[in-house]
Amino acid sequence: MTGHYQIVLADLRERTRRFGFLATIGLAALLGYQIVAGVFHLRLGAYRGVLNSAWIGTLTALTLGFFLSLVGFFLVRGSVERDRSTGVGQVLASTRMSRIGYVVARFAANLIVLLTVVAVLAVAAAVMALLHAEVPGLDLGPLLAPLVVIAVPVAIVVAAVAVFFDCVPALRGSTGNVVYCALWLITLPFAGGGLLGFTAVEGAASATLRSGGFDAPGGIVLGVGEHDELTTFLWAGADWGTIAVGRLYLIVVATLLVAAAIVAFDRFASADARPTARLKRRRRTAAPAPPSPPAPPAPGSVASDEHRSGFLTEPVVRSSHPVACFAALVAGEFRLLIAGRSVFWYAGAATLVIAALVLPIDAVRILLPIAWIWPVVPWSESGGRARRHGVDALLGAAPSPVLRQLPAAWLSGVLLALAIGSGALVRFLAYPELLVGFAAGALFIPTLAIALGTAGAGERVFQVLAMVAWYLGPLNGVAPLDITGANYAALAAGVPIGYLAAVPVLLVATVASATARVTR
Amino acid sequence: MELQILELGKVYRRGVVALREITLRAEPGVIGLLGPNGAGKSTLMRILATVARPTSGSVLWNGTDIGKRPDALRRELGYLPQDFGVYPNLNAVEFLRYLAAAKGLTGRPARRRIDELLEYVNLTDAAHRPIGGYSGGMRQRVGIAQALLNDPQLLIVDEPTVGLDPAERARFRDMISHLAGERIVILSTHIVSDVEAVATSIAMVAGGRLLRHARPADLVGELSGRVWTTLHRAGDTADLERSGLVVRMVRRPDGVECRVVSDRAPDPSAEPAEPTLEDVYMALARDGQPVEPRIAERA
Ligand SMILES: Nc1ncnc2c1ncn2[C@@H]1O[C@H](COP(=O)(O)OP(=O)(O)OP(=O)(O)O)[C@@H](O)[C@H]1O
Ligand SMILES: [Mg+2]
Repeated sequence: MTGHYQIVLADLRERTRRFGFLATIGLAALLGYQIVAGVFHLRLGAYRGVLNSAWIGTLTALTLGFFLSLVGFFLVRGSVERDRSTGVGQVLASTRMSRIGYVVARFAANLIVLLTVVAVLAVAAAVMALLHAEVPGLDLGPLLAPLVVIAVPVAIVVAAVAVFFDCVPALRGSTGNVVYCALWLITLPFAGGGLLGFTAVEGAASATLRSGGFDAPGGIVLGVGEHDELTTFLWAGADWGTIAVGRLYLIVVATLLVAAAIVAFDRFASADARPTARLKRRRRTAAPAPPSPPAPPAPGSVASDEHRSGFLTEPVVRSSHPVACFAALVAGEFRLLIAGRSVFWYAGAATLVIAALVLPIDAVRILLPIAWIWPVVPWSESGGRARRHGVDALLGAAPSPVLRQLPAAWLSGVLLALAIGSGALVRFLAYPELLVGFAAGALFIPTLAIALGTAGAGERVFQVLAMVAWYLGPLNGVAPLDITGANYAALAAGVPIGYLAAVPVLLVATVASATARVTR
Repeated sequence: MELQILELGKVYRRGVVALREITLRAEPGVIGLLGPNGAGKSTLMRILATVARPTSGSVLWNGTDIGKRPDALRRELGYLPQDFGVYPNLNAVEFLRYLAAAKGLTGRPARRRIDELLEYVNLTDAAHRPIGGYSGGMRQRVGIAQALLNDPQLLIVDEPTVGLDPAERARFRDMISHLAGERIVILSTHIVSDVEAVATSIAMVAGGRLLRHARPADLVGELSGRVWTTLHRAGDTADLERSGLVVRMVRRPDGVECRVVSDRAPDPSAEPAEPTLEDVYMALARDGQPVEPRIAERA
């Protein structure tokens, strides 16, 4: 058992020293601050609770559950993947480590990270109760109970889902990121209330209101914005014990997920288990010294010219035409975008192009944002690909690394947008007013991807941003996020023009951050 | 063609001093950079390859400061880093074409050069398989090929032979001696036999300092008359080991043969031995100090 404890410990050490963890704690603190500053509000129809410890605890718990369910997943997932890509996994696999022990240890490490976030928010809630409560005083019981009953089970489930996604081969890596995003967006409307505790709080608060003589309170809403005109009522907390019992099924769900992960875990034995991260040649042992080379020249002598015949005779043209070179680089970058995807991916891309050619124009407008979700994984890799694969040292030794390679990478991303949107583009030619939306999407989306990648944000950031913007913008009509103007309202408001204008700004920032990195 | 390193220093974050005041002049030929783990070899090479910046000092390539104008060198530079990666989904030809384009090389000349290089590093048969499926040594050879794409005037190779099998290793050393004609090759290793035969000069580095830079024969000559072998019974070597003079011990049926570097014979039965570069390296790594040149004069 101590061995597994060591795995948890080593994993935690590694994670807590990564920038991502600090960023998340920072983000959690920021979220806590937003709650303290009163940005988030919880209301029940036209009512809200008086700001006392119990209401603040409930508000914090619901906000946190929501946050953990999306961001928390991306925070903790990938530890198994990391072991695989660094080769540490194969070292562990050669020990007596058991599958159960390893997966449970990874789950435990996930959980500890998420519980750290819960702890940060608990402190934030206490601060709010001290500073901003309308009923002064800190009442720890009612403040912490909802965090334990609502947020902790969410943390447990998310930790289990993350380890499950890490262990199931089909859900590893970027595919899993996109699948999780999609699942989250789809299930939230109907399963979210129960999972994240909204339904339970709604029931308890309605009961409180009715017993106080108020009528028909209406649904629970967690939101951002003004709440002064709401009628207040005194909330002393729910019967958290009963609610906790009702949420025990989440523990069962988490257990089942971990069990499934154990079954799916291949102990790093799959065919592609070769470490994909940069080659750590240090780890390999040197081959024994070979016999002397055939004809070593005397030390200090200069190899004679006759030695050179027979190999590397090709005269080298050190600089080809710059335009030809740039074209070759763009082709190379484009190949990097699309090489190695599954057959399913290519087929889907082709289907999207063809569908755009045949569907009615209003359907094509909705289809275009979907088509541009398709390459979200390749795009998310741009900007950070060389660093991730350890090719940056090779590229950095070539002339003008930033000014040659970055524009080529950017252009290849735009070309991919054009390729997958080509069906829609052909149709839009008959509707010139739609072209600005097309241009905005084709330019802005890949530009954002490379800007984030260059800044070192990591692939998940772009993937999640793109998925959420797509879900809220084109699908749910939140105009400011509707980059391509899939809805008329967004088009009329000139949203695409705003995004087009942002492209040069992002590009300048990208070149600046890439230059800063190279010349460090 | 000349590379000048002037009082180069590098301090990493958290105050790790990797290089201290390194000054060195390189002319065409092979410089073997020898030193123990953590000596600062890779740091020095990264700075020479323009992928890292020194904290003090400068590097001049044909008189141009590469800190200010790195592209002057990059056009004529080939660099094989100690740790590098590949794009696993590309095959060797695609990967090399991509890097060739990044170095300003494309079209037919690039294709022919790549074919020739792949032939040269013995990868022609595997050239159209994704690199992700290569063995470690095969990937290393892709790295060697990319360093030679632009026919570099300055070739920097950081532990190039690690992971290569004996045949490929010999092949590589052969290649280095062929290439060394009118270019500068800087090769780092901690395996003495890698550079013994091919190096024009040896630069010994330890603790971020340049201990010696001299022709191998001169380095070896400095030890002449100071290397001894002596045979002890197994378990009887503790005193000698404690004296800190032993550079190598070989177990034999009749006891333990100790190789000792010392001004005087370690014991009456000790026999003088021919010094080797390995002895120089071990003695330097042991003392971390330059070998006294006066010994060379006396000899
Ligand atoms: N990125 C880094 N950040 C901080 N310290 C570093 C970094 N890279 C190297 N060092 C430190 O600088 C010193 C020299 O390292 P370097 O890699 O140059 O040694 P080396 O001679 O190449 O060793 P090896 O033979 O193991 O490759 C070491 O003490 C190392 O810990
Ligand atoms: Mg090194």
